[in-house]
Amino acid sequence: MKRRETIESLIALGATRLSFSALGLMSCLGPNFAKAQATGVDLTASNEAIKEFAQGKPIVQKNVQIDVASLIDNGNTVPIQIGVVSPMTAQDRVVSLLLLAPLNPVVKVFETNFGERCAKADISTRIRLATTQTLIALVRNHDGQIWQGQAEALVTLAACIEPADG
Amino acid sequence: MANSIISFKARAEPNELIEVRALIAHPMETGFRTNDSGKLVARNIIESFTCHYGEALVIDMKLNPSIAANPYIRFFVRAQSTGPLEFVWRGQQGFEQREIRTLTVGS
Repeated sequence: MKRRETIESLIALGATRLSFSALGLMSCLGPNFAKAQATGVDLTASNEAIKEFAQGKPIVQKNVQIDVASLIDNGNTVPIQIGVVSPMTAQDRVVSLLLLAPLNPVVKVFETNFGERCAKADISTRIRLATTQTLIALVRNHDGQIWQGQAEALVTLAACIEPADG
Repeated sequence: MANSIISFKARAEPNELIEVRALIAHPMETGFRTNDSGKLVARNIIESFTCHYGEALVIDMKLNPSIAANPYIRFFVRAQSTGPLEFVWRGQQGFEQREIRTLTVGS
């Protein structure tokens, strides 16, 4: 968390031209990180998906936790866990979840409905990430409320668009 | 039939929250890769994964190309009575696989 804040504050100061030695590893990731956060990134597909899921309801940033490594050395297989704070009783439960990777070629990573036998709104899987980006998880509660959680993922080796071997 | 590994506790107490893990071998070809001659390799993915505990649904997932090869999914079920956990994967090119395991509940 501290390193991410450091990078963000340095970029904010326009310090992307700091010497390699000063930032060490961070500078290798710096330009990529800066590019992902800079203007010009096309979030249309992601915004469409969010609109479609939310169906006009307001989106509240709460109760949704994405657990993913902050620094990912291989974007081909990224373990991820999404947990939602919810009692998951018959009366009070979350109904569905959508994970978005806004800068992947296909932004919807997966969607899931939680059936009556799902006792905990907590899913782990492995995903592919094409580039450094902010992952978004949207959750629909039984009462129609839409909750959201986000997590930044720094990817050093991209997935999805690599040439096949052999 | 693709190889699959499903694991969960051998014996659960009534009302216990148990973790269920399912892994299946599948390339999850995204459709964005190119082969040696520069041609796009066609998309071939598992598109859905569902789990039922008896008659009732546990989870129903729609998978997209951004899921990694050999999809691994971990979720939670509350053990109630001994019964079947049925796992179904469906995908392109007519891919369909069902696995049934018994969840044993009670000492």
